[in-house]
Amino acid sequence: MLSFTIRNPFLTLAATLALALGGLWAWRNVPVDAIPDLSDNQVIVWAEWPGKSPQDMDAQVTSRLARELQGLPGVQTVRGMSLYGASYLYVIFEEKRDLYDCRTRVLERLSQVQGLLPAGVNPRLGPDATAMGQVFAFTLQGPRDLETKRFLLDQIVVPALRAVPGVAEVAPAGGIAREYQIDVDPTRIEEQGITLDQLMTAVRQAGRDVGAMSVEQSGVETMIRGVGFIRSVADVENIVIRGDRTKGAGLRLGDIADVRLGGQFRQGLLADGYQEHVGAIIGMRVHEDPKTVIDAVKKRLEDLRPTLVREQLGVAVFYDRSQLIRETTATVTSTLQEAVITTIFVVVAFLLHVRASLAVAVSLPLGMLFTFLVMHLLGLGANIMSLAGIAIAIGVMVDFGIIMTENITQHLVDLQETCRREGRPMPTSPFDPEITETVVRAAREVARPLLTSAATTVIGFLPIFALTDQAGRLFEPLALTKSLAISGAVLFGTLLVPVLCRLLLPPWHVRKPLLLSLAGLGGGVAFGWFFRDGWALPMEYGRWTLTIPGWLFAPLFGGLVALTIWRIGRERLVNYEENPMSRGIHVAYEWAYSRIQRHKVAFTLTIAAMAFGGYLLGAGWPTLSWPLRKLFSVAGADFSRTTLDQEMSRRFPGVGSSFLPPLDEGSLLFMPSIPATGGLGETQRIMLTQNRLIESIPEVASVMGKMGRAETALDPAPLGMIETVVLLKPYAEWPVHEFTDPDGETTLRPRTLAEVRQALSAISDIPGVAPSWLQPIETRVVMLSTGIRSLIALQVLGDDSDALEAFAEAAEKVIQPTPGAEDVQMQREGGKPYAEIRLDAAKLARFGLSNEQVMASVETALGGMAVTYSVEGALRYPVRIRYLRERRDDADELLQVQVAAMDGGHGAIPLTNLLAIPTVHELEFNPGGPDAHAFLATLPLASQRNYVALSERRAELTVAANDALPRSLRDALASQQVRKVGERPSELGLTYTIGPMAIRSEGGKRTQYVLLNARGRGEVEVVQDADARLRAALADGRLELPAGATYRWVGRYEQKIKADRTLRWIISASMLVMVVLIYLGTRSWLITAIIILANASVTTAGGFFLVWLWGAEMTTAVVVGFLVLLGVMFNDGILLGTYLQEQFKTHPGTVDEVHRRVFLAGLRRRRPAIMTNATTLLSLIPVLWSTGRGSELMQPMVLPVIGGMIFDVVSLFSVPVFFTWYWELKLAREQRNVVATVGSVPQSPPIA
Amino acid sequence: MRSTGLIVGVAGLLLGAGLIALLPESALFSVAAPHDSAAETAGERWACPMMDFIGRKPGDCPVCGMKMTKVTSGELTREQQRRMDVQLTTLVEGPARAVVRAYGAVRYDDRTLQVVIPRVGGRIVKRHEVARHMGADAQVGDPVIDLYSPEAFAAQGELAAAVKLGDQPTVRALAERFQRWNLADVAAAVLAGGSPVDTVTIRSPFAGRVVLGIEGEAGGMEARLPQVGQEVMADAVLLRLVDPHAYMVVVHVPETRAHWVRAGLPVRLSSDDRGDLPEMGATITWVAPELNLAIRAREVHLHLSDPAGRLLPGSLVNARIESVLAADLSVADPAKPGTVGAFVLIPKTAVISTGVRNVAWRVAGRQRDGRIRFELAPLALGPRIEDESGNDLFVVRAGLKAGDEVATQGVFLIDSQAQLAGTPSLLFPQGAVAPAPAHSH
Repeated sequence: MLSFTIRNPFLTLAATLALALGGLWAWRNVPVDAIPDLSDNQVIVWAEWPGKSPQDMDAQVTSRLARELQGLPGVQTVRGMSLYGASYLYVIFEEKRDLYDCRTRVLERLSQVQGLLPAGVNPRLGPDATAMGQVFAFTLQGPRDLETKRFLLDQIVVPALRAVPGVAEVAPAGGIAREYQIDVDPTRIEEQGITLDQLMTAVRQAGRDVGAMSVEQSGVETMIRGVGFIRSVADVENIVIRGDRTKGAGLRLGDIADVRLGGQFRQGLLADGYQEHVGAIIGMRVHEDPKTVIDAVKKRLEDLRPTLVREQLGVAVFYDRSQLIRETTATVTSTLQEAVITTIFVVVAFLLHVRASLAVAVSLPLGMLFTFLVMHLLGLGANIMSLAGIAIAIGVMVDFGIIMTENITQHLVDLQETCRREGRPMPTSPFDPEITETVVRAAREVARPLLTSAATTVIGFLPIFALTDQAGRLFEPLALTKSLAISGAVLFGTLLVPVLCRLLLPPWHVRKPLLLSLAGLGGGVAFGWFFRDGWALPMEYGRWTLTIPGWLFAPLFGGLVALTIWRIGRERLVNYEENPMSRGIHVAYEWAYSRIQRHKVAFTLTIAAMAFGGYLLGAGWPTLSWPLRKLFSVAGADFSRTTLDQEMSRRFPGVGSSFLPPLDEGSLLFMPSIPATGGLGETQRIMLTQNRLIESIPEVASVMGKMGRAETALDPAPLGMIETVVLLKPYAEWPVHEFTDPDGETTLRPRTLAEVRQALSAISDIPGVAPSWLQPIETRVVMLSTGIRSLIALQVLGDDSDALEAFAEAAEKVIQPTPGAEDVQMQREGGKPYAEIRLDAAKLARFGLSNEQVMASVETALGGMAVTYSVEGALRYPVRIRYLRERRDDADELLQVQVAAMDGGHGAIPLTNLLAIPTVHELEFNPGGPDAHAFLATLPLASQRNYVALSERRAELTVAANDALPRSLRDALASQQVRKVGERPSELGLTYTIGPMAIRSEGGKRTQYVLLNARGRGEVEVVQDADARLRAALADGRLELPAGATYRWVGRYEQKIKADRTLRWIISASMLVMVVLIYLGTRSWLITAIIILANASVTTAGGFFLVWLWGAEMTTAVVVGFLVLLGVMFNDGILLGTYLQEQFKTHPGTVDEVHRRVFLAGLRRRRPAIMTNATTLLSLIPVLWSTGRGSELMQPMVLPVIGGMIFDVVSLFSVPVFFTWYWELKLAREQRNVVATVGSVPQSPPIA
Repeated sequence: MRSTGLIVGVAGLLLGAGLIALLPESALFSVAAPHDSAAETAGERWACPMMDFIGRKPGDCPVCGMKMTKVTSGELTREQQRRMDVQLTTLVEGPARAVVRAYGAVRYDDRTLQVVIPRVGGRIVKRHEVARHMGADAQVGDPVIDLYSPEAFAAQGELAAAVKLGDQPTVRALAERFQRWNLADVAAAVLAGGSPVDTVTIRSPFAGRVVLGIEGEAGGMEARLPQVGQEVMADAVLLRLVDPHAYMVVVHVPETRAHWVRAGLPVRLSSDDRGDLPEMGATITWVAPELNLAIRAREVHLHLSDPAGRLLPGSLVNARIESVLAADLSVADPAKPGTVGAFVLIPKTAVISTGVRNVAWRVAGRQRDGRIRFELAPLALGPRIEDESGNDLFVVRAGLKAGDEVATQGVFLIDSQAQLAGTPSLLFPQGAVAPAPAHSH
């Protein structure tokens, strides 16, 4: 194979070209997203049942569905959420199942459960989009009212966008959906002698289109069609309620009621700081390319523009993922470019041979294209993680080419030597058989080690594939692309590079005039290219540009190009040992080596100090002191009580750990939460105020707040929930602020993102509103994957929701003081006041009414029921009858709802006469007992809310009809502390209770959450700390877990723990494999031990050190970085160890001989080792400086690698030094043994 | 070699042990760390000025290291008040003027009803103008019908005979009878020498508008206008007349407000077509002693006169009855100002309510820098009243007194903050569900 490719260069080149073209095509067509889709494999089922309370929804819809769906094969869990009039179920399937298969199964089961559900409830499947698929959102802007905008959105925009390929759903948000409202004044229709029932019947009979047949007249067929649908307000007004043939004019609806076009009950609204808006959110189908979809949506919106312009409307985008995608890919791409350029520079600098460098460098782009090709075949998208995989592979990718090229060069140099010795000219043509033979021989020699080395690197990365859930979804693309890139590099390094070497390395004899003209041409083109514009390097996000003028840069660059071409043509074969770079390394190495050999103990101490220091800073004292702690506990003491421990723990806490560094998405999501008691108006007022405040921050580009939910299953938000998307301006446009340093100096600079976030949270702080600042993608992922919206949550599962709520409320107080725990708050859903209409059976009997009649009257009076529908084009709008606003917006008026009396005659009974009215107990406190205010504390919470203290001695307690008095009151009454002085029916009539706003359930259990975010500390530590507090509180009775309840910690933290556990296993396993590999490579336990003990510890310590220095956290990304580091480091060790072992196949005999051999080995390996290390290191350094979006995900990965590689310099010496030391001691012992046992047979050279 | 190592080892061990034994304990061991909750006090919060971190202990912000400042829940800085748009109002004590809204219909004032009757029997031979249509306005003396009356004819004959006879007592008596019959003109004609006629004209003795009947009056609806050829008995009703400008408004007051009306209360009316009718002064003249069973409302009558004719009988009018509550929450007599009670009234917007539990947030203290501290005031509320300008007010029975300042806007947020901070709030009268006595110290 190898010799075939080398012998058929044109075939190889053609194949390479084909592969490259394929890769190029794949690169252009690969789906691009910002980060991999992290959401669970879930199917959403939702059902609507207008006007029903969460309790009803939960009992009759959610729990029934959950029970049915739980049994499906592959279901992990079913999460339920019941809101006012809507029920959501999240059926979470096992990871590997096909989504569409799962959907089919759910659908299948849904068709069977129809009988279980109340009439009129139709469970539906949510869109085949994930939460991360909400890629685009816009509003319609223009001088039209909300209702018209919404009408146009529904009529024109939504249908058009739905047809865009890749769009799963278009969810309208905000605005007012049209509805015909018939507002009646009950007194007035009463005066007319009409009941609501009659009115409803009249409206219901109002409209229907009929298709009659056709008549034929003189051969012309005429179709007959009865037009009767309600199409306008006038149509409704003209509905005849009562007519009299003799008297003529009848009574029209318009005569006795007010008919108008109005808005339906609203489930959500959109608003910026000043007014409401109408918009839509685009959900993308899974596995689609967001960029393509967004572009197509934009294109379609552009097509719609003339239509919208005619309606005086325009489209304003308030969320657009493509910008983030563009920016992250730009960041990664520029990082890739920088890495490639840096690497090529390193290669050129080390080889000092342009043509050889060319041969090496070519495997970089080709390897990347190969990666893209395979990615495309596997259906893998390009995103920051997969591109980062390539980025961290670049340094390693060139290694194969370097080693191959070097070896071939070496052989060609040998050939040159041979030729010179034989006195014949060196063959220069690449087609010379001798050269071909040499190249084949050289390539064969290194092919196997190269493959082994690549295998080690890939094996070192295998643990990543074992990650599950979010971590797996996030890092698998990275591991895959990195492995692919390395495989590609090996492929090209072994197959293509020898061919290129065969073509490029032999000295060319290009004729001077030709070369001169080529160089001139190249130089001229390069000159012309840059002459006008010069060369510009944008700095600080494009705030200013470093420009080198054309007159300066163009001649330099042109000259350089010309020189390069000239050099390419004239380059001879050189021995790398002789170039100045090598010589420099040689000298430096010798200098350092001799000194280190002399101070072995100092060197060992230095290494130990470096290792210990790195670990102390990175892993922290609490981790490092684990043996001491154990020792103390074995001795029966508590180590944590020593000053030493406390001091050290304080000084060296180690870096925090968390799951992932958050990606800077360029936009923020502000989610304030207010108690559920908040009404639509108040919540809206708060939202507008906060939006206005946020807008006043100069870095903010736009603000759009969403209250409640958009009409999609992906957005299960109750009405009181606000989500404000805050779009930040591009960095370049951030204004400059004046800052005063601690020393009094003022500096002008733009604020950092963290400062802007601080400013935002400061400005948006309104007392009474619990804030939460996250980012859109982040939130969506977290929200849908765990059902909560903060990073960490305490989940309490149980049966009694009141008890759960009480527990959560108390737990919140316990967790709140945990350091690093931020935004601690229980999920405030409970506590929505309910006015319950409880009917008294006896009173119903008095009037001969049925429960149903009364409830229907209530429903109608409040407009709960659509009587009929109007038909306008493809859409239909409900027609509702309800009381006038002033008669319906007031609980007092509710009591006056007229229920038609049974006889249907002239007469109706107000609701108040049918209610089971709560009783007000008037209490008087005797001087001996507690006073009225103190007594409050003894009551259960529900009764506390119904207790009114009138004075020190008098109070009133309202108790719902048929409910018993609370126990403490009964006791107090029995013990004569309290006297009941009176009892009267409550003037309120209705029974007021506090009920939940939303009911959550998981696996059939009701759930309650306490949410928190970790800031300033790692999530895991915060959770541990909070958990300890919780346990302590439970233990000393401050907290009491309700009967049958359990609690656990969920959230992103879950993934971290899971990933950690998996990683720990896999890392141990792969370490073992590594050890075996090292041993197989070196065949010496001594060297293996040195590599593991000295190199590995120092290198990883270096990694820890840089992570600490950079102020980063131990995230999974950092762990991935460590894996990369280990792979590279072991490779180095193996290379040197193998060579060393080669040297010591025979017993050295004397110490001097040991020194000589070790020095030789080190010298022989140092250049490739330094060179490969340098490429790896330098190719990653640009990542540290990259500042674009997405860099914060990549930086943590490269930190350990860079830190480790820097510390790894000592490993150049550690193996030789310790190896020599071992031999010195060994020889000395042998000497003594020889002295002791004179005449004994010298031992055969032992191999440790 | 080996022994040296041993000695060094033992010496080191002794040295170390001695060092540890001799060092003061405090250098090695710290006193048990103070428990977190010791420094906490309920309701006291320490907030970082930069971040949204809120802690329970004073110190540096664990996030950014800045010194945290104390926030008392319920205390708002001027800036916060601006953001929350907090607005305050001072409670005053005063009469509770409630407006009761009711809906009613206009009728003719049945007190002005008068009937035209023939005092003699007979057959109607002609109807005059006023008897042809209902709604005609009759003046005094307008002819109503011509009646063929044998009785009158006979009486005329007798009168003529008596005149002829000169029987003055009989003439006087007969003239008097004609007078009583309202037929004095007939008698005069006979006295003047005319011959008796068998047909007499009945004239209206009153002015008024012809109506068939008045709703509510028994049998009123069955009344008919006189017909030609109809035999009428003496004293049968021919026409009903009412004062066209005197109206009665029948208003139904809902049961919940039924106790808030009494005779003498002023009422303001507005009609659907004319809108407000401020100059139409009316007072309640009668209040039904019982509720209407069918519509659960109490009937109230108002009498008024409307010479300008803005109301039509049968118009539906809105009535706003302005009542004033007495000290015992019953309605006060407007004629006796002494009975009017004085109450503390609170605007409805200042009250947040779960239905049963009502609370307001009272200003408990003001700092010089504009900070205001609010405290929860659980209220016992009396009836809700609507004042003349349409504002909703509650009568405060307990919880606040006159002069207290309460928030009327931003109340919800103030309450929400208290709920977040775990101090007493609307939903949690005791603050957070505090299970720990250890927590409250």
